[in-house]
Amino acid sequence: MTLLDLQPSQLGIIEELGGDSHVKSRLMEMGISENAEIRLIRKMPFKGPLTFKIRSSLISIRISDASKIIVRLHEK
Amino acid sequence: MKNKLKRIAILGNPNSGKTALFNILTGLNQKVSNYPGVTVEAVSGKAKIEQTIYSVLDLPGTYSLVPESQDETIVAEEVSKWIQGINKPDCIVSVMDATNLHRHLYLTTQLLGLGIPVIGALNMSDIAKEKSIEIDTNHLQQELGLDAVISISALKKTGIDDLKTAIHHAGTNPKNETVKMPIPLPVLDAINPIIDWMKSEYNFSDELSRVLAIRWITAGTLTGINSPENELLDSVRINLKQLGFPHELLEPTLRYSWLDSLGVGPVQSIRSQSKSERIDNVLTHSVGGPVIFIGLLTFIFQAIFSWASIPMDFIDSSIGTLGEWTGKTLPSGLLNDLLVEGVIGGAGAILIFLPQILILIFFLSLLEDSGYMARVAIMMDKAMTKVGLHGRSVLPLMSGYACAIPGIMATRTIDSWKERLITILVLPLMSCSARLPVYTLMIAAFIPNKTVFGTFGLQGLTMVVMYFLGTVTALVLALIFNRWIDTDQKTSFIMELPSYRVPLLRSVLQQVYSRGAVFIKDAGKIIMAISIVLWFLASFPKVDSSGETQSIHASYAAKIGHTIEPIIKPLGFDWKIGLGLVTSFAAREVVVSTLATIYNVENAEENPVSLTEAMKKDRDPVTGNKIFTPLVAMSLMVFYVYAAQCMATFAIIRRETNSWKWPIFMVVYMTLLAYAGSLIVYQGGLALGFS
Repeated sequence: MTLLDLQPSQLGIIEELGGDSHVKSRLMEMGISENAEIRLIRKMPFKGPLTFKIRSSLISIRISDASKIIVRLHEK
Repeated sequence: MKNKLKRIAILGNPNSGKTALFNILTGLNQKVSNYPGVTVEAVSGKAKIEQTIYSVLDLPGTYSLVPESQDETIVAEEVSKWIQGINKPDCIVSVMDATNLHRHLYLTTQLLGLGIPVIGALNMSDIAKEKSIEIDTNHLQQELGLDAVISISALKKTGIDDLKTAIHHAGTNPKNETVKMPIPLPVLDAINPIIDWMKSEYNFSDELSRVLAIRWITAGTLTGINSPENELLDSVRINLKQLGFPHELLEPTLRYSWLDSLGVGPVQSIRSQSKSERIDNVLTHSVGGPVIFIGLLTFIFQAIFSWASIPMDFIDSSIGTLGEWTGKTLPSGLLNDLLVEGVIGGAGAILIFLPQILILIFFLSLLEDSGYMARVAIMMDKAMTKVGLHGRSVLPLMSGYACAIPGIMATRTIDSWKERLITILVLPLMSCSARLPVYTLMIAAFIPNKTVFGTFGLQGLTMVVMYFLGTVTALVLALIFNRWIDTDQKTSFIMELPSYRVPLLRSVLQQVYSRGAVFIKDAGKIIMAISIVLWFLASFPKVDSSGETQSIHASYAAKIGHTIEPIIKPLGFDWKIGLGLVTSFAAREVVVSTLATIYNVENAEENPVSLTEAMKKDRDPVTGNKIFTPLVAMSLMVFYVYAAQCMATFAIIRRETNSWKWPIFMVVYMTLLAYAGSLIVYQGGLALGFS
């Protein structure tokens, strides 16, 4: 599943970053790395950006980029 | 003997508080706000630390030394200069958010190995304390090999003395020992050919060669430094791949595993909902969010009109009194006329609009400083993409309501060139505060003060319509330019949402003050000069060849105005307005002072005249028709919505696009738009029977 499949306030763990290498390395520089816990906060309507929380930051990215972040559900 | 000035450079992630610290150290008042990417250029100042004068450099925020946008490139280029020994600082202060240390340490580790002492300034340590985040500063300093780690709060101004002591110490007794970032042996072996190349080609230290080799393998380029030939890179990347290290993530992988192994920055639980998230539930709600945003904008523009009226009346009557007093006190003659009609009547007429501009800037700063603008960016990103813009275009466009110049500068945070260029090209269509005097004057004189739709004042509503017209046109043109400017550059949108905070009165007032000061300074220089020149042109020749006293219609000003009259007649404008159109190329509000000067000269016997009254009364000497009608006022306002009358905007677009093509294009398209828009309003209005 990808970050897009998480429901608001659901927790996930990042398994793999994918997609455009610029976006990928920038996300990684911002601390969005494999095995990090991530919580989906909100999806904007009309397929707008989604917001998630990772470490202590709230970050928004477009869904095209979010669809390339592979996550698994966090078992409690 | 004069010592070379010592240098400090301030670096850090966006919105970590670099500029706030810079202001404290230097006593300057650079703009501080709560939006990632407020500082878009390097600014330097001077600070006195332990009896030594330091030159302090404040750089834009960046997440990494591998830049993605123009503001970040400025930082990467500066650092690459240091590597080559140019303007090398004696000490780097790396500002970090103590509540999000892990992420902020990434950039700090990139600054190690440059051969420059690095001090970690843990900002917002007061908030970290409230959240019971404990940071072992000694551990951090030793493990990373920093010269010092100091907890500060730029907001509460705590820890600043400790920081100064540390800066002084690092500047005079640098540690000169570096902790090397651990690299797994197989990786080190794989990248060794490039490290060796760096050492032999540039004579870099071992540590610096490692840092640059890793960055080059990761990013494929190095800002400001020539890289080795590509075959070497390809072979190293292949070797890394075999080891299971994707090259494009090499640097972040190595740095974050180092930070993880140190166990720095206790990570807060992401499960709990912060205050900002709860506010976001309302402000970025899928229906409520946009409604609140539009409501806020409407409120602001209505407030500009209604709240400002009392201070405006006060300034108006004060200037009137001053004019009257001057007229009576000074002996009558040319100097008296010049002062009363040109200086007080002309340039003074502009000052009336100061309260409106201050109210506008006040509200825009509030929105930005609260942290709300980053939310607007994410709410608008989808709609903005549809017209070829970017979520990050919203803040520059809204800054355009105040002034196009800072708005165009703010586009540096947009990472794709095409979207940045389109934002720059349409930004001058956002009605800036220099158009406010024009709208206000026309509305006050010719739009009835009625209430419509229950609560809205017709005058305030007309103002909102003008802002709306400019904004909608900007978006439509963005759509057209988007089709027309071809590139296949990919764009992305990564936006960090800052925590909400109660806006800092100090920084909001600072912004209000600096914009107000610019406005008054302009009124005192450019507008005053133009008013004086115009007064001469409008007042002479005083007598014709037969010795008869001449009316203003025979003056030099009228001659100039009459030359352009045929071009603007179809728009409903007479020669006086034409003269205003010409003079407002210096700045838009000059049209108001121009009209004021002309009417003061024309009605010299009843100085000082009320500009609105004079406009309402003015009639064509030949036909006897009124010069200004509500329709002419509408036509003129539409002209000002569109016309490119600002030399400063032209100059800044020339600089930011580094070409003459785009500023010229802007002037051409905006002038055509202004003419066509005015023509349609005036001729269409006449055809429909309005006057």
